[in-house]
Amino acid sequence: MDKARFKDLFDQYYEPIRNFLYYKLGDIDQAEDIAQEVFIKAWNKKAEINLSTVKSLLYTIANNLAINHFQSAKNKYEFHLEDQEKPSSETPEYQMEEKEFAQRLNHLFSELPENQRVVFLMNRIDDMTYGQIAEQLGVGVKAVEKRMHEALKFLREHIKQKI
Amino acid sequence: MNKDTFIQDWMEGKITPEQLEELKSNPEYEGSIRELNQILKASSQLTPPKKKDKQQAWAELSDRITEGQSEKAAKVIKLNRFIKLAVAVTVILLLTVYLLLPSTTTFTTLPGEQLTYTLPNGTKVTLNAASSISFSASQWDTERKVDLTGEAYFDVTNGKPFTVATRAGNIEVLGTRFNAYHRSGTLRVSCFEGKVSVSSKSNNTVLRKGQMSEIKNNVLEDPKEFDVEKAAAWRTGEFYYENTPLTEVVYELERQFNVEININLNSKRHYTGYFSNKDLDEALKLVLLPMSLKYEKAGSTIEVK
Repeated sequence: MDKARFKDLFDQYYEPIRNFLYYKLGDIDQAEDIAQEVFIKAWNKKAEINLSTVKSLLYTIANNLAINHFQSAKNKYEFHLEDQEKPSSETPEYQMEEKEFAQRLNHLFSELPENQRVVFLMNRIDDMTYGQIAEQLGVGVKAVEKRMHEALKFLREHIKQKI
Repeated sequence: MNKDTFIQDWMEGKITPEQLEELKSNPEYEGSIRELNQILKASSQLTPPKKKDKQQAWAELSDRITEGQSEKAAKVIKLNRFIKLAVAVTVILLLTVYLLLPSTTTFTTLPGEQLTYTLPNGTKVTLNAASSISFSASQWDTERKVDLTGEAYFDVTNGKPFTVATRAGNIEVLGTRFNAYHRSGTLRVSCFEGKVSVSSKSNNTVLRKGQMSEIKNNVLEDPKEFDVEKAAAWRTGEFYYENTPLTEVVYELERQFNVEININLNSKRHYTGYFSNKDLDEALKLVLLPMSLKYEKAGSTIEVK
């Protein structure tokens, strides 16, 4: 594999890998640093890279590197809302509510158990199906469904009181 | 049904639209469904923070890696053709299993609710009250198809063909904006930009900007002009009608205000006029008084005499 083809891989997988690390660690600086390490390790293993399994390989490396890091003391989520055109019917109050809602979610994410949080965010933000998530994390689809369900249950139970 | 397993069943698509309607009418579940929808919707609009973009990250990485170690190992792989074959077979098997697994995503609005969603290809869909769309996220790359019941306005991102399927007929587009209304077996499509192809079981027509068509009882009518200003005004809460069956208008009132209207309908009557979903009393007056109908309101039930 030459550098040009490796760049194609990087272009395709850098963002999901960085997101995955951020979901785990809750610290964007750390997530970006480790994402670099992931691709360096992958480059060093490029002889063994098989295009059909490279995605799982990248997630496995990312997972191992993240475990070796101390859980960041930060673990604070700073997701922001996508800038998207709002239909004109949505009032400024409604948009405010949306922002506040996103803030509450950020707060609740740091209270979710890590494995539920990672599954939930991979599904919601990276649009990955349960099957894809199961493959990347090396667990069964049933386990993914369960974590997703637990996460959603937790968020629903707590979204009202917390701010 | 137990409240705990209900969330799971709902997420796995095991709850039929009929069951969901039933659950929504149960106050105990209605709030839950609304909250769950809100959480799912809001969380899919979140974006992770970013200190450096992909280009910067690549520039940094590019400095740290060097070329020229791959040839030797490439030969090793060639020797292991059997392993390659085994991996290929495994991948095909996994892929087959994965494609066969149903994973349907459904977006639903309750009576009195309108919501806008973004689909994986960037297409924006605004759902009118008591409507739903569903699609298979896992097969999205090969088939961009959504199933629609109710009414929705689509702003389709340019790209691969996009299909809206209903029981009455299908709509196919490239990049365009259009409104689709599918209720009581009727499909009505209005094209706001670009071209839209509408097909019933036996027929097919192409709509251009400013044209609409209807499929009713499996008959596809010829395209005709419509008022672009009014046809999708529902997105701002305004509803315009021109010689529309009164039944259709009354059903829309019920959906917009989440009320029950008991009316002995002579379905041959037609209504021309307007109402807004901001004020129930005013809307009732605007629709019923011109038809010489008197009504009495008790809670969320309206008796029309």
